[in-house]
Amino acid sequence: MAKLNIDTTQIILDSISDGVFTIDYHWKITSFNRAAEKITGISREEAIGRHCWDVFRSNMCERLCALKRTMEEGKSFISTSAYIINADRKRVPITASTSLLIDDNGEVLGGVEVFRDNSLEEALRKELSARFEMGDMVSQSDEMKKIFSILPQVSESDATVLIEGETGTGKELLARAIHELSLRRDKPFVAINCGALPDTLLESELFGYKAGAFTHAVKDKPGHFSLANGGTIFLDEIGDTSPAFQVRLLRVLQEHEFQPLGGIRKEKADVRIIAATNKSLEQMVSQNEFRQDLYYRINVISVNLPPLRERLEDVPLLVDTFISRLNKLKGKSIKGVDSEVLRLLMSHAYPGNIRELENIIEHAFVLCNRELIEPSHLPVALGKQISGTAGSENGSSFLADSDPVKAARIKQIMDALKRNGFNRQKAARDLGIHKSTLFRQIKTLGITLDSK
Amino acid sequence: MMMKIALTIWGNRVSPVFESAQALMVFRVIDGKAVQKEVFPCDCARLRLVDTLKELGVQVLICGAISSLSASVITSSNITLIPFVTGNVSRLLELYLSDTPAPPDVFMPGCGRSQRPKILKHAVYTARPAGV
Repeated sequence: MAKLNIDTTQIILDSISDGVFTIDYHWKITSFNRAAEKITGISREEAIGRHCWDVFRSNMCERLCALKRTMEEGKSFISTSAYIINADRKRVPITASTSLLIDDNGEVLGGVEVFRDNSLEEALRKELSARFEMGDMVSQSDEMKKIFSILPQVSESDATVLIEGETGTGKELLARAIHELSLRRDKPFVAINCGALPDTLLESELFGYKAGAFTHAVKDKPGHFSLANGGTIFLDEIGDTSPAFQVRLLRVLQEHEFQPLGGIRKEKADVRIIAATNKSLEQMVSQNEFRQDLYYRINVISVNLPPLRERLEDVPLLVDTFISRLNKLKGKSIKGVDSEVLRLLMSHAYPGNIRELENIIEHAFVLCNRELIEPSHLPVALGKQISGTAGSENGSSFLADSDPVKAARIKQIMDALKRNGFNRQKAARDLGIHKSTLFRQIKTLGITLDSK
Repeated sequence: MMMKIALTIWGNRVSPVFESAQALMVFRVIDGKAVQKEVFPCDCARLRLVDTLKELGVQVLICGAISSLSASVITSSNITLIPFVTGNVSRLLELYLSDTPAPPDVFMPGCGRSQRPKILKHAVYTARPAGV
């Protein structure tokens, strides 16, 4: 009968999807179910008789062992989050619960640990969070999601990165995100705008100088390369540098050393370089305006940030982000923008990109004393610009339309498009019409949308 | 010949999981004999530990379970990695230096344990691209 009970228990244990193992008082594994074999990649034969930490290999084992606490305190612990290293050398996220193993007579035989593979949940959670955020950047556009998805590998690689994008697209934010995700995250991130400084000043800022190097150099001054030692240096507007400076920078990249002005010894440059430009360096190279060898040196990994007009679906998300940030900074509790403001914002071409949108919201924030930002809170220039461009490239012809029925239908379509991130198929479903009908109406009503 | 061998430690044992190890024991070995040992607190979850290992002049790292990512970062820094081992630190060092075949209980279960060389020195980590 006892044999039958043991077999039945094993069958039950093997039929459940959670991993289960039991240990004795010497921390040796006494039973190991099928799911435990599957999650850890270790067979029952190999597991039984071994110390639990050699088999389970969780980050909890050393300091926060839930089983140890259960054995010591006699208490159960439920759903502790951790990870294990499986036989395939992969980290597997798990949740574990522990309790005492007690026989029919109430005698404690050891402990039992039940654990669940949370890989799928973790992957979904990562996908959801990665969709919208990376460092201080938020986006739900496909182009940006692609960039977000490769960023961890880019960061880990320590290779030089070239970020290309128009002014205000968030090049420095991206550089910071790369730094924060990299192995250099505990060391400084130093940014310098190369285009803002004349050659000599740029060199002294970057490489530093020694006392006596020039008239007012009374003492040594470390440059950005020294200050960023071990960290990351962000060279913004690299396309605006002179050929002479490009030669010096190339030498630093090749030799990993630099020489302060007036110095006689070279210093080690243990920095990762992230360069950015709002120009096409490739084109500049073809026109002999930028050194080809330097271009190849810095263009190890290149990331192209799309302008905001090419990802207008991000406008509502960015607006929410800015409002929430400003609420915290200014102690206000503005809830958002009204539909008219959103419509105006979605119709703007944003030559200044995200920075321009941020400035618009900040302007409105100052004037707004209500829960929602209204059109009257927006900068006057914005309204004028939109009216001025009505019917042009950004699909705002409806702003000046005099037929109320037509205007209402245009508004209805535009609202549906906005709600659905300008995905026309989804917008059509939202409106309860076929996609081809929506396309026809867009054409008939003269709605000119962004090229997307 | 001088070399430095580091082990991630948990008391007098090798730490079960590299990434959660709290301390590193570094042995200075001259002509096959350990002449000095030092213990350093460490946070192995940060991959910058590699820099610490390089600064300390460590050539060989012996550790418990380790993820492919951490293992790749360590081996790409030209440090010989002997992972998925378990047991007493002194015994493991002795086994490493002596060239005597290691008993099976020195290796953690799984991870191709049966195919691993019996001499601890030869049980070096080899990267599996798919796992990285």
